[in-house]
Amino acid sequence: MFKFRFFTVSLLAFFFVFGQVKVELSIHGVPVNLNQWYAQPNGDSVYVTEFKFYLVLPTDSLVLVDVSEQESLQLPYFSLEDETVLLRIGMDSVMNTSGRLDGPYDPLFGMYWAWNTGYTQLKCKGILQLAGKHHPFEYHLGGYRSPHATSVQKRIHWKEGQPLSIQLERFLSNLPVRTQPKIMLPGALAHQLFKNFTEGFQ
Amino acid sequence: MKTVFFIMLSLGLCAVALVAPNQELDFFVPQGWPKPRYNFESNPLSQEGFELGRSLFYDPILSKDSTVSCSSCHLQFTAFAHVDHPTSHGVDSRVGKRNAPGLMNLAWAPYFHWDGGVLSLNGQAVNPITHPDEMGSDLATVLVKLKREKEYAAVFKKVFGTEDIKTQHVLKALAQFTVSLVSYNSKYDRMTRKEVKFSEQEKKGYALFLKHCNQCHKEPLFTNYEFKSNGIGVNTALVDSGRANITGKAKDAFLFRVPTLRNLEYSFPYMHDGRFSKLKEVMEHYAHPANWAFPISTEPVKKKYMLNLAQQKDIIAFLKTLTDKGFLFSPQFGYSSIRE
Repeated sequence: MFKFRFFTVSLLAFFFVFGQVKVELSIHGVPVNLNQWYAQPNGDSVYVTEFKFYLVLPTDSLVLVDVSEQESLQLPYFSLEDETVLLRIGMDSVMNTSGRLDGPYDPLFGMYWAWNTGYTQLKCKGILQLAGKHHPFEYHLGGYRSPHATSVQKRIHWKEGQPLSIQLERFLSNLPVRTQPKIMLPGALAHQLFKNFTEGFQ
Repeated sequence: MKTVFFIMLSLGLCAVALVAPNQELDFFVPQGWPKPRYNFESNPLSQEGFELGRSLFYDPILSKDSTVSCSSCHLQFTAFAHVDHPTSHGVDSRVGKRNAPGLMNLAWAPYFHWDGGVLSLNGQAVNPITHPDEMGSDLATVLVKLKREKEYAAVFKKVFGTEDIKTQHVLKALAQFTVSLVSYNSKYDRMTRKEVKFSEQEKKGYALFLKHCNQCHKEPLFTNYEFKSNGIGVNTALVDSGRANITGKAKDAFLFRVPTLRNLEYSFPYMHDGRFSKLKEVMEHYAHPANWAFPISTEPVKKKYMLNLAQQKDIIAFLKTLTDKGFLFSPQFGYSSIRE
């Protein structure tokens, strides 16, 4: 009986520790934390105060990754196909308009667009320091209508036990902070910035 | 022995009452109307859910300072519109930029708001609850406030099976009430059911309506749910590009949803910005193409119609047959509160 209990507890512990996939966001190889300055190679630096986005896992389950919530960086386990994994970054149009309001769809998480059915797929807020000058920015990137849908399906090379790595330098180095420090609407620019973000998935 | 039996029986009945399932509520579709678009499977109606939604609709607890409820801008006796205010005011007397539309027959609507930006009635209430010019609150605060109210906790548990009130429960309860606001008993409806007859003037007005207005304000819902510009011109004080806000397309600039005309006798003012306070002003606008401003949707221009004063009066007489006093003054949709 004792052996059985020990086995069960060990199995549960194994899945708790190893049965998850860690999301690791980085800038030039340095893990991203909120409210911290990160120097860029060109001398500029960036400070992120909010960063969250939606992912659709191979199991078709939707998750909201929020850097301010450490638990959200641990994804439920998903199996691999030949050391690759097919992820959807951002909800597709069906998910956007499903009318579901539970779990990660809960408007409570601040991703629901009240005035325009659908969800923000990526929220990022912070300050970019360019040539010594601070440029606050706030981007709510979303929209599900063609040709500016913020939803990309991507096959990613990934090995079991490794974190899911997302490099943010391309996204953060191309923020139009001088001309468009805020984006709250779907459109070409939101689409482009979102695409930059998806290219950071390894 | 008898006393013990009755005590046991009473306790048993109380227990049954406490765990009794919600009373299913049938949704009535008037004869000849199209199939409702609302997905009732996503939010099965019950008497308890309807009453919970009704109480929330009338409860200012949803606003940031508990001063404004849904009913502040959607009053029953004005067809759930906001009478006498071109655009509605919310918390801190902040004024919005659109005329609060009447709420009725929402089960048939493919989208909501003047620009059609909201596709689901279940999620619609997030907008007024969180909009700074309306209730100005946030969902987390609303949930905290509701959980503090023991009457609400008990009813939410009864309807949704949990005292842990979530956003979806609040929104779905509100939708159960608003989707139930069906107006189908106007004189027009009774005429189509051959229960009453129109007067001569109403008949003439109806014939003119079918000729000139029915293309957009299509029977029996009196809207075709399309987006149009009716030539009233851009309101430069409000800077509202309408449908283009949602689609991002230039061709949709200054287009707004075609509203239903049901109960319009009571739902003044008219147009998305509430610029006309009287029906005769609306008729004057449509009757005089020379007054129409750019942009304008094509239908009225093609017809180039001009209605004389008598014809305008006839149409107004018909429009008044769309008033459904049973709906406007039904106690079923009136104020209710489950809070003490």
